[in-house]
Amino acid sequence: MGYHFVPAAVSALLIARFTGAKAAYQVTGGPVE
Amino acid sequence: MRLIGPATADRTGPRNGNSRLNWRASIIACVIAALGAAYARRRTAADGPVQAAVSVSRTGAVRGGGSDQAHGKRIFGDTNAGTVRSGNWHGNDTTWRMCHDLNRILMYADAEGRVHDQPVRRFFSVVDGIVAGEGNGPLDPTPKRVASCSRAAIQWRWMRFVRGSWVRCRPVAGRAAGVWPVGVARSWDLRADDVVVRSNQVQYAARANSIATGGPAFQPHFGWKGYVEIERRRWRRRVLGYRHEAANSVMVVRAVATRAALMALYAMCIVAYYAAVPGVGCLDVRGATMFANRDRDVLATFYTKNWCISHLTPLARAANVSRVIAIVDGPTQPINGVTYVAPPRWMVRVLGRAISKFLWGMATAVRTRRIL
Repeated sequence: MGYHFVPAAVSALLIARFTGAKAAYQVTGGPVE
Repeated sequence: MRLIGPATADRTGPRNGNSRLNWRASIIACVIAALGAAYARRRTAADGPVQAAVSVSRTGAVRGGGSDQAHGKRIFGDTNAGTVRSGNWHGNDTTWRMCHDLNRILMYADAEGRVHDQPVRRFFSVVDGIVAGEGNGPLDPTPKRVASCSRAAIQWRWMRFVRGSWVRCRPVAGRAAGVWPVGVARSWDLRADDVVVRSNQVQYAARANSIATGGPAFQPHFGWKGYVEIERRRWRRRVLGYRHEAANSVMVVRAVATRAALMALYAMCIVAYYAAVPGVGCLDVRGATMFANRDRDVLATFYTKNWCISHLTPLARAANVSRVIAIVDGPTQPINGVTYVAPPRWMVRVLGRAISKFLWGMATAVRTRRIL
């Protein structure tokens, strides 16, 4: 689970991808994100 | 909240202990990590001496970080000084909903926790306006004295600001009416003629719109600038935010460059994500179903203890969560059911915070076979 897209959510997604786990993230970032 | 992850139907069997390592995915991850660290170090060195270990905000709050936290700021912009890349902007719907629900509870919930259709209590608000804040609040506002103004002028100016901003402000415009209204709609429609100032000073005992205003103008937060004021939006404000008054070509280039850096990072992540398709389950974390495992790993950065408490406590208390392992940096607070894990100091200094947490999160996930 990651809060904010960069870097926590990105890390969570990639780790989940590499390890085969599930990922959840919360994105509250601005227009750029 | 979005949930993303590979299908688990083919990976729910017992763990056989024969973990296969997908070298292609690992090499891509290592290359990205090395490039990111090298680029961050080069930018830091090129921009000047390493920052002090701990910086202190204008209000005395420790921002923390130092050189380790300078990488992200230098490349992508400082989220506390004009760059919106976290929740501090007008389109963030999470915080105002929480505040709105708390106000609903205040007005409609009784002592037993039951929510009624009508308000169960009356309340009286007192504004202690001696020193207010403007700009990057509430975490790092610039103090602004208002006590030198008359109380009536403060009241009137505050109302004018509220009226001007709430029309475009989601916290009010989105939930002013409907179920369990918190009474904002009424003040939204309030006219200056409706407000009568009671004062022991004759010159202030009048209707609000007849009192001259002379108080200071407040700067909105940079994430709201260009949206909450009465005046018209301008694209330069949207791009440059808080520092738009001193905008020049260099700042425009810098703003565009920081966004380009973010886009490049996203592109790399997308490539890595899809390049790792054959590596789904490459580390063979069998049994990793979404809800069968009651432990959760969390990757986050907390800048205050309250921030840590507000994010992790509800998660740790959730019915389907038995334990939380938090891979975090920044201040932490002991919470039942939460275990904190931090990457070693040497790794943070060499690779930076983000990459260190990524690698440490990877190691934690593999070691504990936990749902991220």
